[in-house]
Formats: sequence, C-alpha cells, structure tokens
Amino acid sequence: MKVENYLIPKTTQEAIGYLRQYSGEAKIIAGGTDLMLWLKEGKVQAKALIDVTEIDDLRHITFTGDKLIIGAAVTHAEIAANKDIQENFSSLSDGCRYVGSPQIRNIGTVGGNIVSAQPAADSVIPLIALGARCEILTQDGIKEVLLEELHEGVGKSKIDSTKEILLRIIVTKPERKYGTALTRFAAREALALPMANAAVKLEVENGKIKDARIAIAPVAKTPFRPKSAEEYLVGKDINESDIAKAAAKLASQEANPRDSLLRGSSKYRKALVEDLVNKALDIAVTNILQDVEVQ
Amino acid sequence: MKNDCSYIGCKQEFIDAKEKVTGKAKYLDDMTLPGMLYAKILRSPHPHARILSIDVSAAEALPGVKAVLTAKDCPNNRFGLEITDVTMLATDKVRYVGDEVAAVAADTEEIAEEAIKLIKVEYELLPVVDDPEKAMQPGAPLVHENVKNNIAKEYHLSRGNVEEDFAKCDYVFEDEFSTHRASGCYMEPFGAIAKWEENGRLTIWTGLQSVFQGRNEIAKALGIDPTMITVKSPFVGGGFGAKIWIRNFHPIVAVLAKKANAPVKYVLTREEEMLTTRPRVAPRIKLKLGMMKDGTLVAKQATVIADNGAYSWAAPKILLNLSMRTDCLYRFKSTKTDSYLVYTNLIPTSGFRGYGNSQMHFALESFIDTCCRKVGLDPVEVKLKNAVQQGDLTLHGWKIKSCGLKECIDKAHKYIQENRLPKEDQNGRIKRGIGVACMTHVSGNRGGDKFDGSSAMIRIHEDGKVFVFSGEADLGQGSRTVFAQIAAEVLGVNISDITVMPLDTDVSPFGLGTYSSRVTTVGGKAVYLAAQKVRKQVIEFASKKLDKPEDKLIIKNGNIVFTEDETISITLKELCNLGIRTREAIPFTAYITYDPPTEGTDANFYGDYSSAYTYGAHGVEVEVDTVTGQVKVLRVVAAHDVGKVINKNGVEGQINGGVAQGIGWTLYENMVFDNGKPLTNGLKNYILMTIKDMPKIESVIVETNDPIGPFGAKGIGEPTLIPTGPAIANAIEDAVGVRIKDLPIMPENVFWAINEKGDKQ
Repeated sequence: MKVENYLIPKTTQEAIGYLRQYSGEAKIIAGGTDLMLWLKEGKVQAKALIDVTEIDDLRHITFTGDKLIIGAAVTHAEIAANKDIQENFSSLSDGCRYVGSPQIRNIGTVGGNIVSAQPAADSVIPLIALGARCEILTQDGIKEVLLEELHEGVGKSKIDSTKEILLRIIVTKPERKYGTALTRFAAREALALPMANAAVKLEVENGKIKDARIAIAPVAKTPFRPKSAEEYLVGKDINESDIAKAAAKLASQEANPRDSLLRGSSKYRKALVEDLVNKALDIAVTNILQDVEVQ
Repeated sequence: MKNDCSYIGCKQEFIDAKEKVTGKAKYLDDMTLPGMLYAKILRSPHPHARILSIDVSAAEALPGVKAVLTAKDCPNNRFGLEITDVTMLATDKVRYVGDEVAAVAADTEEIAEEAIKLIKVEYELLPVVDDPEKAMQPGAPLVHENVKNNIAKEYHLSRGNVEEDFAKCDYVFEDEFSTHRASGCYMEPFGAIAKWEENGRLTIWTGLQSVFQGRNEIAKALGIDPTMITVKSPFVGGGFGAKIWIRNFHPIVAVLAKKANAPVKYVLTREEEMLTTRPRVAPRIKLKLGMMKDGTLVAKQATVIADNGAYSWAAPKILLNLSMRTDCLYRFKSTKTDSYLVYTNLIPTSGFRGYGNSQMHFALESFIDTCCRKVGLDPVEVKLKNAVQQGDLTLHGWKIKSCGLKECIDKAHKYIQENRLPKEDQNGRIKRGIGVACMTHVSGNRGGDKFDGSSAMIRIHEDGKVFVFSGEADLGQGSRTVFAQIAAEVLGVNISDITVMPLDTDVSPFGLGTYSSRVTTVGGKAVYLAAQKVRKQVIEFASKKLDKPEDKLIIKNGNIVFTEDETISITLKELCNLGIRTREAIPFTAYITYDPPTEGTDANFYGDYSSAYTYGAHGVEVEVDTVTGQVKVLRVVAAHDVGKVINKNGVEGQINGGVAQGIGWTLYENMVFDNGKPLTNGLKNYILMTIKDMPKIESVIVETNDPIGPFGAKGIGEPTLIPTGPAIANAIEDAVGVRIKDLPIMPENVFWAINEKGDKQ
C-alpha cells in the first residue's frame, strides 16, 4: 500500500469523515516526526494521511486556573514556551524541552507523542505522573480515558489512528499544595532518547504527602508506575530526610528493565532509575518548600 | 608571531567558502545528466550465508527498470589493495550485513527501490564469526575459504632485543587494551555517476580523496586500461579517510550504465553509509612495558589481534602503522610487535583519520600513564624525559628533522592546569581530573621504494590570472586555499587572482591523494616549486622588457617592480599579454613532479619514510558523575607542532574537528553488533556529539619550521584526534581512580569500574 493522498481537514468532523471514508486505510498525521520514518521504513502503511495540524480546535493551550487543556496538535515547542505550564507544571515544560531538537520540537506534537506510544516519550512521562486524561473522538462520539491506560506496548497505543482522533489532553491542577519534576539520563545533551527518565508529582497537606505519582521509563513495555514507592511516600513528612532516597530504592527494586546492547544492562538501568527518581523527588520537594508551583 | 609573508600564516578565508555557505557549490547529488538513471543496490541481510539462487525476473519486468545486475553480469575481476579479496557483487556467498548482492538502474529512485525489493535471493545461513580471537581458532568458520585461520595478514617486527632489556628493567608491566569500530560519518554521503562517452571512454564523477588510485582500482575491477576512465571530482563533503578508496558501487554503476546505455547515478543513503562505510580497524592490544626507576622507558612489546571485517581494503597497511609508529614517539631501546589481521563477518574496516596510529596511541599513552601512577612517577615528566627530539634516528629508521614534542607536552600540561574547576562538586558526587597524552604522526608515507610525491602545474593566462592544478583532493579541509596561498605568496599576486582547478584525472597532474596528512606538506611543496618555476619565466621576461637585472626585480601585488626605483614596473597582466600574444611565445606555464627526499623502507619496514614527522599533545579536563558513570569533557588544550602555519583558520578548523572526532570516538560513538547484525544503523542509535556536548578547545600552535615542507609546514589533518582518547582516559583515572582500557568509554563501563573499586576498598 502506498500513500496516495494527503488530506488537510479544517475540522475534527471532516477528519473523522475521511477516516470513515477510507475505512481503516487512512492514518492521522500530526508533526510526522515518527510516522514519516515508519512509513519510509515500511513499518507503517497507509493509503491516505490525514493531517490534523490545521484543525483550529486542536491547536490551543487553555489554562482555566484549575484545568490545563492542551490540544492534541500543539507542538512541544509551544508547550515548552507556555508561561502557565512553566509556572504550574514544570515537569511537563521540561519534558517538552528535552524532546529531540529545535526542528523536531517545532513540528512534533504532544498528541503525536502519545499515539506513537514510545515507552520513554519525554512529554508523556510527566503527563502520566500528572494523571492526565485524554479526550478521544471515536466513530461513536467522544470518550475520555486516563492517559496511562492508553499504552498497550512499545509503539502501540490503544488509540487507533485509522479510526480515532486524539482531541485534547486534560490535566487537573491539584487542590492541595504540590510539586512536579522530570529527570532523565541520555547519551548526549540533545537529540537523544533517554536511557531512562522519571517524572513525579507530590501533593502535600500540612507538610504531609497526601498523594504521590511516579512514572518511569523505559523499564517496561509501557511507562511504569512503581506503586510500592508511591505508597511508601503517602503519609510521610516532606521535611523528613531520606524519604526520597528510600522511595527511589523501592522504585528501582520494582522496575524491571531488560538488558539492552544499546541502552545498557538491566542492573545499570536500575541504578539509573534509582538516581533519577531520587533526584526528581528532591526537586519536587524543593519546589513545594519554595512554593515554586503555585497553590 | 612576526610574519614577513603576505599570505602564509594568516587567517585566510577559504577560497571556496562563499560557494559553500550560499549553497551554490555543486556536490555529487546536485548533479543531473540528461537521460540519467538511478541505481539501488540489494545488500545482504545476513552476516554470513551462501547464495543458493537469485531470481531477478520480477525486478526486470517492473516498468521503468533499465538494468538489473548480479555477479554473473559483471566482469569477474577481484580488486582491493594489497589483498584483492573483493568482487563487485557477491558470487557464491555474502560475508557481512551490507554485502552487495544485486543492483538495479531505473528511471527513478523509487522504481529502483521497488525493483530491489522484487529480487528474490535464497540463502543458506552459515555460522557467523564475529570475534577475531575466536576466528583465529582452528575449526572456526572461514570467511574466505582459502584463508587459513582467517588470518588476512601478519607482521612480526623486532628492533633491538626486548627479552634482554626487560630482564634488566626495574619495572615490567603488562596489560590489555582495545578499541572499537567508529564510522567516518562525513556529512556528504558517498556516491558516483557513471557515463560511457561516445568515444568508448568512461567518465565517473565521484568525490574521492584519491582520484588516481580510484581510477586505477575501477579499471582493475572493470578489466580495462586506467586511461579509458576519467574520474572527475565535484565538491566533496568530508571523507576522514573513508573516501580514500573506491567502494563496490564505483564499478557497479559503470556496469549498470553500460548495460542500460545511459548515465547512472548512485548515492548511498545514511543507513547504507552506516552499514558499509569502512570504519576504524578494531584491535585488541596486549602491551608489555619495561622501565627504570628514574622513569626511563626501555622496552615495549605488543601483541595485536585486529578485526579486519569481511574484506581487507586498507586494513593491512593500517595494521602496519598501528604496529610501528608509537615506537618512534619515545627513545625506546628495543621494541617488538606481533600483529594479526583477522577476517570476521562484520563490516570491513579501513582507513579513518589516524590510520591505525590512533588505536595504538590509545593503548600506549593510557598504559604509560597508569604505569607511572602505580610507581609514583609523574607521567608528564616521564613523557618529557623520553620524548624523541630533533636529530634523532628512531628505532625504525625515521630521521627526525623537526620536532616540537617536548614543547607540545609542556604547553598542554601547563595550560590544562590553569583555571581549573574545583576537584569535587555536589558533595563529592562530581569528581574532576586532568590528563595529558601526546602523539607522533607522519606527513606522507613512502610505501617501500614507491613514489610518495605530488605534481603541480601552474599556468598564468594573458590577463595575469593564475590557474593552479594539483592531483590532490580537497575534501573540505581547505587544501585549495592552502595551494592558493602558496602560489599567491611565491608569485606576488592577489589570492583572488588565483583559481585552483577541480580534479580531473585527464587534466590534473598525477598525485597520490589525500591521506597520511600529506597534502600541505607534499602537494603544497609541488605547488611551491611550480610557482617558483613559473615565477622565473615571469622575471626573465620582465627583465628583458624593463631592461633591468633579474635579481633586482620582484613581484608585488601583481606588478613586477624594479627594487631600486619602484616607479619602474609592469603589471603581470600586461607582461603576460605581451609574452603570450606576441612572437615571444612565453609559456608562463610550469609543471613539476616532486618526490620528497626520504629513503622509504626496506623489506623489514626499516627506513625514513615520511617527509616530516608531526607531534602534538592534548591536555584534557573531565568531570565524572560517580553515580551514573557519565564522563563530560570540560576543556581541551590541543598543542600541535605544525612546522609552520600556512592557514591559521585551516589549522584551527582541523584541531576543532579532530578533537570533536576524538572525543566522539572515545566517549560517544560505537558500532554495536548482535551476532553479526548491526544495531546502530542510522544516526538515531549511533551517537555523535552535538554542539551542546562540545567542550571549549584551546589551540596551541607550535612552529618548528621543518626543513623540507613548503615554508616549513607539516601535516595537521590526522594528528588532531590521536591524543584525545588517551588524554581522556588519563583524566578519568585522575578524577576517580579507575582505568578504562577498552573503548568506547561508556557511562556504564565507568559506573561498574567505580563500583568494583568501591567494593574492593
């Protein structure tokens, strides 16, 4: 199958209409920074590509004070440059700044990153730690799904881009005092997929941790939440020394990366995970203590 | 630095810089010929397999396909350098992933690509040998059936008596080191266009570093006379040694063009570059070093087992350099080396900046440092104490005519100690250290008794404009500019009045090409001599026209001037017009063939074989994250003895590029294989440094005014990356007390080394 048509709808209705028309042989394209490579390599085939980057609905970031809504076709560069996101969700802002190169950030989209379902996508890991939800337009109407439930395997999302369109990503701002952070380890300073990354979000009330979410990757086929570390943190006093260290150790024990000739041995990556979670928790705690992220 | 020259030693903008930065310079892929077809090559997906059958019928039937080739359609000539083990397309079996199996020429690249996919090859998989030590064992699978134990080449070199000397040494150390495959990763992918002319001759456009050697190799593969072929070079976007020699695709496009009766173009994709571009020879090196309590280096012994890959190309010569050159860095009393080049089912290795010398420097310069630390000697003092000096005759018979080694070591060491960052940071998590390593290299390399020179032609036209012809290639390093500077300096004309002609083997004077860091020293000397010869014609004729003695005339800014009364002069333009367009019939043309005054080597590789020997030292400051093992280079001081600077911009460019490639080779770049299958195809998994990873580089230029090179100049192309790797390894030991002996130094290796050390304590 060869790409015979490149369609540029202006509305989501028009786009879903095209998908229906091609009955499974068309695919949604946004920035194309992954998809174009896969098409070239023959990993993905499509008769038509439906470009959603000119659908105005999908191109905005809205922050209402308690909710952040990001259109699926918003680019990494746009998220990284957004003041509200910098001030309220620094982990997401940082994650989008780490993606690829300036050229890739200028064209690649957060929606694309989610649907591409690479296990260590730098914009997706912080969104998972933030508990983001996704609004998806299906043939039967709109549905809302927790982002972390969308990953099915390496490069496999539950969003079927031959039938469905990811519309927006919704992050609810915690009502309590909170802090977020993203840390990563890569082979070079730019243009490198992380050998490991970790995102955290801590919510605090009266100095006690009320909610902890940690997302780490690539230590499994999908982004991984070390539940033992999260549970350990809940109830702890954030001023208590070494809670980050202890939680990081638990996270590392729970993580089970595979040996990779390119990305390093499992044991080494467990050590990296421990360090990254430790550092991310330290940053989040510092942010809370210094009121960096508002609330 | 005082400079009496107009052009030599200044910061000269490259004469072709404007064409390049405006995108107007034509590289191979910018070229199209009328009726041109596009080629694609089917490559082996298996590291080792027998070809049972090839069915090309579906490919031939595809509309738009104009020619399909398998080995049976090609002249059956083996080619390659010293060991002719290459055929154009695989005949009976494939020997590495990427080996050429079939080729197609079609109306478009897309059709050619589709046709390639339609070719059906039946393979019988054979056992894979991916490790040279295992490959040498009796009973190991043979890569080439006629080569026993897979040993392609071996050398046994001995000077003095190491056994006796080791017995007398206060200390004798032994250890093992290894270096890996790294890819050239030049910016412009390699390729060629072939066109058979109406007169039956073949024109090939290709960006080779060595056009005459290339022409002859293509002729050998096709079985025709070399002068039936014209090789023309468009602009070249880098080569780093990997474009010295031809590849299989060169004769393949010629055969495709013949069969299709149309010009054919082939340009490698980046993936194919990673799959087939000859990387560094990868050796395992056992070293034994004998020294005295006062730090005198006495004896060195090495055993080398080097991974040749599936075919030989330049690897035998590289192994020879690897086996010899570091013996001439210090005043050893004796050295002995036994080295083996072994076939495996991995990508064939060949020349890459440093040409084997860099590999052994990594081992020796690491080893001396770690030995000195063990016995409480200062490695830098030991290096200074033992360094070769001007006037030395080395163990291999090199005559050292100029040598700035001590000054380079001294300056690299001095400057790297200045303005250092704290030795620790983040409560001891970050540790910093410095290291120094030095090197020797060549500027030209006479193989045995063969020619090691260069030719040049200079012609001044009737308008006074100067055209320079050389057989040496500019692959981006700036030799065109160096030649223009030399000609402008000798002829007293403005550099803008000089044109350096592109390479064309029918027209260009004979030259060996761009390798061995020889172009400025040897090619530049030929241009210098040609310029002097044509200057003589100018002065003689001016003397006649102005009626003044020759020794009282000079050429200045394009005017021939009487030194005693500068109002008496004639412009070069006027003079040339008078000489050419009258019955005076002055040629204003000179052709020179120059061969440097070196001896070459005897059958035992003894003898003075390079026009000049170069020296350098790098001082490096690194920081190590002791938790992750990640190493960052913070600063590099690169001191190089260049003899005499011709173009300061060029020298600094070479230093910056060499250091970047040296750090890349040491800390970032790695070709990874899993049972013979490459995992690092394309630039996603093959990690090159980016500008964000680049440290600050301080260039220190040492001038020793070589007595032979033009204006005293020596080569600088390869030396710039040779000391970087060991200097980094030495700095890591200084920072965290662990010694990494195998390249590449990946964070995980440092991590485990630090952890093992912690366990022991």
